[in-house]
Amino acid sequence: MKKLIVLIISFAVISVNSAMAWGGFAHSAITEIAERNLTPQAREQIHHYLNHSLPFYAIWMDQYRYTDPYRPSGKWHSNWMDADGAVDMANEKCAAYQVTRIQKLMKNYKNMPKEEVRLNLLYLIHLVADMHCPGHNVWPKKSHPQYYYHLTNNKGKKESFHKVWDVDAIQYGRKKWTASYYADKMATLSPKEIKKICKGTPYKWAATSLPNAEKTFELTPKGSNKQKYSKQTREEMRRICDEEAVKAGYRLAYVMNQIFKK
Amino acid sequence: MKKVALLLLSVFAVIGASAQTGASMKRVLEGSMILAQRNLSEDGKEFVRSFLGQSFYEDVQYLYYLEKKNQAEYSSDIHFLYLDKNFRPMKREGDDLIATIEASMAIVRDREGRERAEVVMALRTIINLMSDMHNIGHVRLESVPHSMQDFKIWRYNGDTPKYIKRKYQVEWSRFWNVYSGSHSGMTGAMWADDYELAYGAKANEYAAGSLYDWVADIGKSANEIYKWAVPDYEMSRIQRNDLEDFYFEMMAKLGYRLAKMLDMLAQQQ
Repeated sequence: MKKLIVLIISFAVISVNSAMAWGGFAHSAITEIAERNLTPQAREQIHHYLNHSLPFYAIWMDQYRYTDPYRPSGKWHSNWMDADGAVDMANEKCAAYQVTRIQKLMKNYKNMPKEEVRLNLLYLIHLVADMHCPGHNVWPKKSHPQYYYHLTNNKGKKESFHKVWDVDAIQYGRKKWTASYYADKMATLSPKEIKKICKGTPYKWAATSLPNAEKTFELTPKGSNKQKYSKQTREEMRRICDEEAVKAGYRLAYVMNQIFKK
Repeated sequence: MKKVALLLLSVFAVIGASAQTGASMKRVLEGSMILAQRNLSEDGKEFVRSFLGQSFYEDVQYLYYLEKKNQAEYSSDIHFLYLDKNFRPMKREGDDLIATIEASMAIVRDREGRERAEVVMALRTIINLMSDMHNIGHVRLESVPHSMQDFKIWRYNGDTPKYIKRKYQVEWSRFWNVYSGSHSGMTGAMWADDYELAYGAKANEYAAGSLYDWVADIGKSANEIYKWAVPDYEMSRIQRNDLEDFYFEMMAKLGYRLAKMLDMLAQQQ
């Protein structure tokens, strides 16, 4: 009976904790940073194509990925590596490939049907964020078998490596933070610093994020108990997520501003 | 014993899910309240400030707060909007949403010489019930018998064989909370900005008319929805997605209409 009560209480705690979904929080925070950094011209044009604000559409691709005709886009949410461990820009599934493709396509947005422009903006809002998720980098199994491993919890049960980085890491010690508070606290770069991180292409952005992605394996090794990471490990995990999320916010604004540049 | 354990397990699962929905839902409503506040006239702002302080987004759930503390004057039926076949408020015995709003409006209009606490309570009641009536899950239509009490529907998280198996049963009155849960992280101010951006152009249209016109508008929308929303209805992810904009438009209507109501009360004395 005691065991049963412990099981029930643990389940209750897990239910409440898992409700703190990183997906929604981080996507809202990234789009809030982007929203604050749009040029007036870009904001006006985006509103012409989208009814709502960027944060409203932050998880649009997740909401529609299992429904036709958007099902193929469900495979675009990660960066895929080639056999040499480089970002595979020949792979249509690769988020960096899709962002590059859409950037090129949107150069001609004035001649595109409104619905097509709208759809591609919705893709960009989500993909620029997702390509910066530390757990969204996929290597071939041969070179990085660790990508395919599982973590554990206090009960010795399997926990998804991907979910720990998507859901837990950015919110360690911040359960009451909101997206706008995150943007207030974290998006404090100077114009010069913003210019520096926005330089380059989506391929280069993805490539420069790889060292952070590699660190995920050191910080959360195979079979490690996700509930027993030290304070130092948690702080490092959060730092990595913050670095990537803030870059994603500024870069999303940059991509939008470039598309709608006068 | 096993049955008791399973029951407890389900209760905790619901607590877990509603902890998320509760916080997100509060922010969505906070967005409507901020929108209302932004759209008040200067006199309206001063009037509201004099009774409710700098902000009133906590007041939107004040009756629920009293219910939790067993201090409510009304039964929970007060939160449901009952309309006849012409989408006018039904004449009902006992606690009634529209009758209570009207009685509260009369108290606020007749505030001279009344106890301040009575006027504050009346304003809080108006705000809470205006919010309730904009929730389609709280609308009951005489012409649609199955809508006259709560029922359960199923929703599933996609339309592939893998996801169709993940079916969730949910009470109709709570189904609409799913939309706030999808946008965790957004604050009340972010919602207010979003409502202005998406629906601001229709603000005057939404706020036009009287309480009875607003109720009729809500009733007509509910009537369309009850054509398919029946007990045990299975809602796909596609349909759920398609309804999202409707839900947030209702939240914007609430904000613009509440501003008009409070402005009107500020002027009447």
